[in-house]
Amino acid sequence: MRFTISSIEMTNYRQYQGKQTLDFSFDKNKNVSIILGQNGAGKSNLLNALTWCFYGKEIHNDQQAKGTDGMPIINVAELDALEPGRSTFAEVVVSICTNTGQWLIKRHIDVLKDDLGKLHFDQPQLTVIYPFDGQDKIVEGDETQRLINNLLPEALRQFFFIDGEQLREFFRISNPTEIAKAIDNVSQLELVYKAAENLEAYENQLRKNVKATTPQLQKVQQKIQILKGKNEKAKESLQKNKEELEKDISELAQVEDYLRKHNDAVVSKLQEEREQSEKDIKSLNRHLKDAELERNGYLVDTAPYILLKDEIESAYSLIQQKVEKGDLPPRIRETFVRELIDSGRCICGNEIKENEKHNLESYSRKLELSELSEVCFGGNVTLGEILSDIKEFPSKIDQLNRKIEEFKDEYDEKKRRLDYISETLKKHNIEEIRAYEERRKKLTNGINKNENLIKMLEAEITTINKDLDEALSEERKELSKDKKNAQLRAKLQLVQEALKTLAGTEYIIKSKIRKQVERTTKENFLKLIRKKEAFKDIVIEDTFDVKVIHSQGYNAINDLSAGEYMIFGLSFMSALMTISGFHAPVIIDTPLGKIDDEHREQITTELPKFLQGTQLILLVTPTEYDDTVRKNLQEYLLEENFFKIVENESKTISKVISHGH
Amino acid sequence: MVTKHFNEPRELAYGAIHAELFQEETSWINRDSSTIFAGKTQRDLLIFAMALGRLKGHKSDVKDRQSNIPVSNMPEKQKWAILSIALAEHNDLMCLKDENPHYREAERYANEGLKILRSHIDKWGVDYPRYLEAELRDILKTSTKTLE
Repeated sequence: MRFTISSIEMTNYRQYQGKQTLDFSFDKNKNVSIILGQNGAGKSNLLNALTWCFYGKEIHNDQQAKGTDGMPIINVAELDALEPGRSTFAEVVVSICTNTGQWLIKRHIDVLKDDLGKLHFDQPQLTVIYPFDGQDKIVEGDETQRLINNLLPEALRQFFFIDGEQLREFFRISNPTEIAKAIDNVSQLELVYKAAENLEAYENQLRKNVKATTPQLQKVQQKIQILKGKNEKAKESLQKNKEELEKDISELAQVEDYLRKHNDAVVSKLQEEREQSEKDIKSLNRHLKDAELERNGYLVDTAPYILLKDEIESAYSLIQQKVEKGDLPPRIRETFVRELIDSGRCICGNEIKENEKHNLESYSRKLELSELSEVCFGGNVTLGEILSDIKEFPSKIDQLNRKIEEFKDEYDEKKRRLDYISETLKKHNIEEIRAYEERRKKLTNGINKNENLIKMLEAEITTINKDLDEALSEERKELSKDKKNAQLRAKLQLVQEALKTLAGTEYIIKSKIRKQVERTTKENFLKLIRKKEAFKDIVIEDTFDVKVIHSQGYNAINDLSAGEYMIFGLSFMSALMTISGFHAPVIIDTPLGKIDDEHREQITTELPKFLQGTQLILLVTPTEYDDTVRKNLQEYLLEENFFKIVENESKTISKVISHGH
Repeated sequence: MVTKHFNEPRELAYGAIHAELFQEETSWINRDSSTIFAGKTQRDLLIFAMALGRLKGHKSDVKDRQSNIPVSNMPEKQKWAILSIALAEHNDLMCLKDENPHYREAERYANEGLKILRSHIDKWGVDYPRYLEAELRDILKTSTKTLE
């Protein structure tokens, strides 16, 4: 269902005391709305108001207003002014315009101050009013959340209600799990997952019902249960380790960010050098692996000939001797010689004499060998080449080993330099830097440990699955021995085949969606990016690792600027939005923060066109909303869709002023 | 150089007991394998094993044949590695008139060679390339076959 927001009404919500209303007009071509506010004034809480109203969750945290965690949802001034024994409330009401008519979504929370001044918060209540059979239907209770999810499933909200800061970071820190999750969300495979879950439960039930008629059957069924349990545990551990790994990677990026941007020039320089060295080490590792692969490949190619050196030399000499003796003449047709002997006359017309006839007879015996002339001459050349390859072996292998050693030396040098940087920062006279460096080391160790654990767990799961397949096949065999189990065996087989089909279906759908996201992200990215000729491809691997392929062929995902990350993030989110099939407003908090002028220009001129027909609400700071941005957005902005958030002097209460453009 | 061969078989085979080394995702020839054969082809592995089996003088019949290695696109050098064993055995070029038995013989050497190779790789692990290189240098130096 397509919808746009016609108004947001907040009462006593967070820093907004009293009722604040934002009425939006929508025009397909003038699709942009601006909400302008200083950092900490309440922009992110406006986004929170929406997610709280829709899903009962506040997920957006302004860097400057981290204190919202401790701030009650109901306005503090309102609570302070509340007299004992009286109650008040907070609520957010969002009116939306759908193709079936106007909807109203309201989340409301009451609070009572008792005589001792203690606050008692009620459970928030959600109410949805929507047109049904020409009348407004009011729904409260359990059904309401289902109605909201029909409009925009919670799993998809992050593609529409976007935090600019998080979006920029989304691809800067490699997080395949998050990317996989995002793609999984738009794949809408809930039905497949539910079916698999039910089938697995049914399979376990069937297995419990079977009477073990042979000791072997009992044994194999126990084995299946054990393996399934092990598989579950290994999968859980794998998931946990992956999550930990991504958390550590994300925190490491923050720690490194702190060091890189530190006021102490030496610290920031060392951190920059370290980051460059780490990139170099990665690249050296790749070169080293390639060089080893080349050396090993050469060894595998050449070793058989050296191992067979005696045979090859003797074969070569055997052919060579025959050639030298003239036993390998060029091919002559045997029939031609036979005709000469039979007719007794040469082609010149003269009669063939007895001694000549004798020579021809002996020559015809050699003809059998002459049939092999071609293969022997070919062999002679090939064996000669092999012998020459063997001769080159010592010098060629030395050359390949030298290349490996050079890479290793360079690698060791870089590693030593990294140790030096780490030691220098650990001994720095500023305590905070020492602490950050210590934390960095812990995180790096944790990342290495988790990466190894993940590899081990993946290998373990592969082995368990193989054993499980064997055990299931043995179970089928055992069940077939007793006719009583025939029906059960057929049922089990059907369930197992259905599970395999479901797994296959899931894989196919996910692969298709992944490819579709990859294609659409690439189209979007190349449309939005300024340096169009600098990038040639976007790849989402089946491991969900994302690559931005530079025109020179390398993966540039770690080298993008803040603006390019933002554009990449927007391209990806936009691809997911399109593929999800849901048409909701796009609300972006701080879309232009930390972005260079050129990309600001690019985003503000291209994004409204790119999202034409979609309501686009931008929550911006005055720094973001500079003259150029204002000028660029003017043609997409209706005057009444411009709002300002203003704070009181003590910056504790905010209100929204409309039509201030 | 493309040469016409006489009665060359269509495929080379390995025994089912060795199939995991050739076919599975975790095979030796898989690009991510940690063995020296990473990224190589099935026929490279088979020819290598054949040469090792021949060097050790060990061969055995291939059971439960997995005929997965086409001979038609095999490089001439590898074909002549097989044929040179036959020529060394028969010392007669006439043996080239029927190549089929030589390929079967190559499979028999490979069947044992793969067992030797498993033990070498188990023993040397990631150092196997170094060990192999040293042994090959030794062969070239002494021109006698000394692989253990």
